[in-house]
Amino acid sequence: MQCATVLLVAIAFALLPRDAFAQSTESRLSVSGGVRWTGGSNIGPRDADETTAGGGSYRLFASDTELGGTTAADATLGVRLTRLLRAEIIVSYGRLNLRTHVSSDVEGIPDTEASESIGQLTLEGSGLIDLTAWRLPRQTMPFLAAGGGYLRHLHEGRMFVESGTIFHAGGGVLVPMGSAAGGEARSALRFDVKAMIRNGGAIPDDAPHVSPSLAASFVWNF
Amino acid sequence: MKSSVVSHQSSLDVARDDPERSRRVARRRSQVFSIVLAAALVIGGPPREAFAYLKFGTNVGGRDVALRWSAMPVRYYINDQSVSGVSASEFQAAVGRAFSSWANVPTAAVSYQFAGFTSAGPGDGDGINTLGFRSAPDLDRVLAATSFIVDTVTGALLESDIFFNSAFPWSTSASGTAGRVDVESIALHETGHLSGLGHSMIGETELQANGGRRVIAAEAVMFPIAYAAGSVAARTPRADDIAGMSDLYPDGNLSEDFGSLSGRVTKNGKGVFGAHVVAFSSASGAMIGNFSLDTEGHFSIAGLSPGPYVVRVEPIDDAGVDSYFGASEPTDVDFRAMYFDRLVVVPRGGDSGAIEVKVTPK
Repeated sequence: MQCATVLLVAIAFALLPRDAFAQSTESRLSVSGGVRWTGGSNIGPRDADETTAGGGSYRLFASDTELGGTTAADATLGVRLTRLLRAEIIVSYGRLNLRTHVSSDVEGIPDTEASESIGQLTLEGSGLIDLTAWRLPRQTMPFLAAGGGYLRHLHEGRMFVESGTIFHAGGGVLVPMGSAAGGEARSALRFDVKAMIRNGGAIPDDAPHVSPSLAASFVWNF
Repeated sequence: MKSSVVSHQSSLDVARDDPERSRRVARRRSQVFSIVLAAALVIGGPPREAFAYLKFGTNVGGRDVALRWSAMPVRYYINDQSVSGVSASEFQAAVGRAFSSWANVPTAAVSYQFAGFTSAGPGDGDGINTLGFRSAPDLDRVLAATSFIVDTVTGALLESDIFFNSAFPWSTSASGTAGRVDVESIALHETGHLSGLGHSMIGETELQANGGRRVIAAEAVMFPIAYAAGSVAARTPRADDIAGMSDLYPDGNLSEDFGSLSGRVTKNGKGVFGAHVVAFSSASGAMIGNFSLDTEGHFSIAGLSPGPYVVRVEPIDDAGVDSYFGASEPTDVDFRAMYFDRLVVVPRGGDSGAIEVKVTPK
């Protein structure tokens, strides 16, 4: 629902009167490669409870689990659908830590942090709307993006895989490199700011978890 | 929470009246000891732990064999004697609910069948499984006891009886009765034994002035000390109990859908026997435990849902060592409780791969 709302707003922006900034001979295909940082997410506390004679709970120890941040390698294949709309497929891979902080043990065991390293692979589809109405220096093109796809977590030891879903919504800018006269520049720098919503995978609850994401990539237009 | 429950062991060998087969059978007895209003169960004879869970077992031809029923359903009789506050039919209904709780474990293929009332008493050695009351005022800490007759040639479980000590006040009330011991709770523990389960150590106790122990909390009905009289909190098998029963009687795709966590507990480079290892899932909150069961310190916890686990290791300290191991076993309780510093991932249908938890002396 959030993604749909963002898309509708983006479409409304995009349908505003456009100016000469929009190029008439945009490239049809693009590929890009770069890095993406995604922030961590607190999964939340879970006590190791035992049952008392009255049916109540007695905490043996407390735990709090966090999915750490990750820096991933990103690759994107994009296609321009119209002057305003683009679609792309994004593949990324990075490593992150799942950490559980254990505390308040009834037998006085010192607080401990247990962790494991997880490989995260994502495959996402994304729709982008160029905000041609916005004037930015150096022919910089702002855009909005939203999409989602498949999330795959490979646990430490490489023996256990869990899959989930990932969604994103946000935007960014394309900064042309070199001359763009007569059409889109052959190459550009791209910067993205998104909210990533992960659900499932190694995340040990059924709730979606939102994390910020920043990406920088180099784009080749064809 | 140090342990000092007094050790009690009893075992006897009896010959079955079957000269043709000339089998030597061993009778093993486990007993529930009440400590004030709690109870401690003590295994008679040195238990033989086999495979991946603390289970009763016997030695057959030099190898340990877990005690388990080979034919289903397990048929049982109820003694027709009533006691104050509990009629034979009320007793049968409560015991039936306890059996149903085990039979309803979705990952275990175990079933039981009430065969009828009998005038035979528990412990008669008559070839039928009998549950009933018997007065044993001399056993002032024994709430109930489970005994086995085992074919020591094949390891087959031939008979198991459970006696409930009528020297204690009992209740089958749905919500429990203050000052009376809940039949269903104790029956669930004892029928776990009857099925082959040993003791779990997922529980906390505190010492009483009289030297006994009071249960603060437990997360396994197979914990060896009972809740105080009046409690009905032990009527439902917990994750640890379910894992144990499922390991004994695996159902369907258990081995494909669940996994195990294994490794060693060592101290100064040498294996630790009898260390209690608990796997905690922060996803479900479940705790499932086992012990290191040889002098190399090897342990294995089966019946775990796939995923990462926190591993906690501690010495036996909330019940007597003899609640778990025989006196001849080199159980080591001289080390500090600790957590393993990594999350251990249990794969679906496989094992975590051996970890080594290095504990330090106290």
